[in-house]
Amino acid sequence: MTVITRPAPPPVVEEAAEGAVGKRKSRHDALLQVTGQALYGVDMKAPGMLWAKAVRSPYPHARIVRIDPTRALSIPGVACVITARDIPHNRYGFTHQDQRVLADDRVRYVGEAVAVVAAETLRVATEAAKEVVVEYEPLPAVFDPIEAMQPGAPQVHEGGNIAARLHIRDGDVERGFSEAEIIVEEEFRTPFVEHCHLEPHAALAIPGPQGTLTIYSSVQRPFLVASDVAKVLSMPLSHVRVVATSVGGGFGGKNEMTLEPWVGLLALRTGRPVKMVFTREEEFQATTVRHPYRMRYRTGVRRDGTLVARSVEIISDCGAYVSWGASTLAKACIHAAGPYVIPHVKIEGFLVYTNNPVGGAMRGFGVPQVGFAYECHTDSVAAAVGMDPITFRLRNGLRDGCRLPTGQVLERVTLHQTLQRALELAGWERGAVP
Amino acid sequence: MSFLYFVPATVQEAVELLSHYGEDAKVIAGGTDLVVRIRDGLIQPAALVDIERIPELSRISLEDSRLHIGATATIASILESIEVNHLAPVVSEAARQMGAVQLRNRATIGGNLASAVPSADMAPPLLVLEATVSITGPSGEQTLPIDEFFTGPHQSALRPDEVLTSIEIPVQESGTGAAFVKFGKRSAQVIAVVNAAAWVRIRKGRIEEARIALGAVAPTPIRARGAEVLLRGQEIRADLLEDAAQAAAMEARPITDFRGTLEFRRELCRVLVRRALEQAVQRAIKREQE
Amino acid sequence: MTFHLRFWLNGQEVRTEVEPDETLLWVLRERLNMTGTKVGCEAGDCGACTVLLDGRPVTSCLLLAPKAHGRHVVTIEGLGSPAKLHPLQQAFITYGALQCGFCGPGMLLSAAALLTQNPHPTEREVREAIAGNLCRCTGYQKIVQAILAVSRGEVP
Ligand SMILES: Cc1cc2nc3c(=O)[nH]c(=O)nc-3n(C[C@H](O)[C@H](O)[C@H](O)COP(=O)(O)OP(=O)(O)OC[C@H]3O[C@@H](n4cnc5c(N)ncnc54)[C@H](O)[C@@H]3O)c2cc1C
Ligand code: FES
Ligand code: FES
Repeated sequence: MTVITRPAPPPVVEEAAEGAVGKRKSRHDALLQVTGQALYGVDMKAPGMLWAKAVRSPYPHARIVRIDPTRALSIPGVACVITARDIPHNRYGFTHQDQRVLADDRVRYVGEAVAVVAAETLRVATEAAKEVVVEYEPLPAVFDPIEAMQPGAPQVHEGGNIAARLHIRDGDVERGFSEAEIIVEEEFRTPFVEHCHLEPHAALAIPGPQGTLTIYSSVQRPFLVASDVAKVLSMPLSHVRVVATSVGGGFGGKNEMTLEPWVGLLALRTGRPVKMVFTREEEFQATTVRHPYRMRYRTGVRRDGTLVARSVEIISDCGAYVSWGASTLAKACIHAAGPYVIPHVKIEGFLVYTNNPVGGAMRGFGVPQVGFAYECHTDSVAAAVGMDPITFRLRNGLRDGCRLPTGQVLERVTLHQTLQRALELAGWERGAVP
Repeated sequence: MSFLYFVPATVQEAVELLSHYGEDAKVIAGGTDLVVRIRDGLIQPAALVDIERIPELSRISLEDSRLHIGATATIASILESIEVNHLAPVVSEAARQMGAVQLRNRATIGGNLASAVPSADMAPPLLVLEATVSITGPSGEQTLPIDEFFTGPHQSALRPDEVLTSIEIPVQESGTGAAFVKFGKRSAQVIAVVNAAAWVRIRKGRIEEARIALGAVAPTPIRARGAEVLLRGQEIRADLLEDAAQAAAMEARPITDFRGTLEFRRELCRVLVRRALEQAVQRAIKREQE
Repeated sequence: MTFHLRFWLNGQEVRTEVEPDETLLWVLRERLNMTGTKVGCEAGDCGACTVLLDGRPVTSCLLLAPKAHGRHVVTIEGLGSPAKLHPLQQAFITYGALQCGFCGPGMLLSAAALLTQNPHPTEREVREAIAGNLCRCTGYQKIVQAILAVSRGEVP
């Protein structure tokens, strides 16, 4: 029915041979973009296509007592309703297999999907989604990671709310602090951030012969999604093809599987193409966000401005499932000491479950949070020893051959040149207050 | 969940349709407020009466020393109107700060007032200019002072079977000046955290009369009459304007919501009213000298 | 209730039956298969759905289809074609004004309307003209440069 031809791969090798570096090149798809011909996830269509709509939890934390799709199924035009029971392997995740394709026993955040409806039109799918009866028994919820770490806090998952704990140790931080002449201690907090890519999540699944599936999706990582879809639907990987459409912005927000298994399963069940597009409200409520961090920085410094010790505690609000939480926290911990020479370092990271939106990948993957903290903190430390923030940074900044707290030895470090160039461009005068 | 859609050619026809469908019918002008509310499921009208194709409703003209602005005049057409720019520049000043180009091309002044939200940007200038509004219903036409129009959040003097047809603004004498200021989280495409307008009439360094209006700080756009009294008959001094701004801030009844806290809004009232007064006074002095 | 909609789309007369609660955006994308006009919020906030209605930029997600009856609509498909690009389209390519490109159709139409009305805008006027078109990728700088380049006749 639908003939799909694989587009020729772009001639990457030839371009490089011509010497693309340092030249202005236009995007290979720029012509399609400016004429409105680029096809994004939201633009995909197939003949006979159904529209899907999710039924989402209004509660941050609740036990699902009963899901009854009977009324929805009786609406003319409704083709299929799926729930957790229809998912052959209802667990996935990168480091922690804690996430459900559809909520089974419990919902853990507002907007978590419990069922998905497919119908002839978007209008009918939307109406029918309201008619799926879900009986909930609300449970106490926790929204603050510090509270979630206390004994007796509502448990988001069995096994406690601390989903992951990470340490980095270098030198002897206690000794370092005892050698310090001044100690500066501060706490920093960063908020949730929604990626807000202009194009919402959108996918179209097309059933093929012998139970195969092709899913067009506005996604950054088609191969990861293909393997996750194959896993949760218990299909051979060779039966699932995920094709990334033009992506109308991702920023990490389209770095994982979201609606693909739903449209995939609905397509298999109905034998028809199924399309789904999130609304902007769903984007804010039910897709991943940047993790809010609370960061406690403690730094020991000598009066001459030499850094001697730093301890950092990071508490990452994971939300209801781990997703990229442990990976982003690991990256944050690696960067947490900042680009400075510090002999004694201790970094500790906690990833804490709450009933908040799920944190995922977003530009910088944990580093912007700590970057904000350690640079603000560096200004405070410089002020505490009476040095201007630039001199302080030039004095303590990493150079070639320096060792990071993780043991990595650095080569080709350009921190000093970069800072110098930034000062020139900004017209910075030494001693000026930032 | 669809609705019936009517496109009457006259106000009379529109009123008949509204009377026939009663509470279930809604007027649609630009639709920039209504369509969002329907989509969000906040209202479910059974019939829409599209008044945009009634020619006389979008007219802007000068009639007997009153500036007449038809209810379906778009914000863009108000900005482009030489009459409005000349005779009621504070209305243009507010229009310029509404939404962005796309919104101004669709949103109407009547829709802005009839939506009756506390933050409506066209309300404060019309309040300080003491505009009147004309309303047509089954029993004919009536005219109201604008400060009797707003009765509560999403509530106005309009009944379901009535159409707001026009706004009339008295032409301003020499020695008067007005200003509108708005604070939002960005400069375009925002609903005001607080907005304010001020109007003064001055003669020989004295404020003969002053009017102050505030938006987004009470269930409706309001006049700050206590602050106005403070200014009346006084000599123009910086500390007087500051005192009046503080008094206006105390008359406000703001709430805390996602756009701002009660305290922040009160402080904004003070700052915005002072700025609006300063500008209004400057403009009045300039006009007195012309 | 069906509404018999008749309007001019990129210069050609279109007749189609719609439900009155359908937006022009929906009619374009789903009934007429013209997917160049994008959808980002359906609340008038992002500008991805911008089209020209009788020459003026409007957000088609807030425009009920009957409002377009008898009127002229221009979409990105009508601005230029790959074979014959509008100077703005060429400039957006040359200046790298788009990354993901999703804001592009709406952005280009807002820019085109500006230059028709005001062929030599200031930078501030350009920024005001595109204030209703959100771009999450570029930071706007190159978009503004591209529009100004066209206004100065500097596009190849
Ligand atoms: C993206 C965006 C940005 C916005 N920015 C601003 C802003 O900066 N400032 C601001 O104040 N508002 C703003 N708004 C709100 C809204 O656009 C304005 O209030 C606009 O002026 C409404 O006019 P309209 O013609 O579109 O009204 P409609 O949506 O057509 O109608 C609004 C309400 O008024 C009723 N109505 C309309 N006209 C009449 C009439 N003549 N007689 C009787 N009833 C009538 C309708 O039944 C409806 O209940 C914004 C909205 C959006 C979506
Ligand atoms: S989709 Fe219309 S403004 Fe965003
Ligand atoms: S280029 Fe991606 S939103 Fe503008």
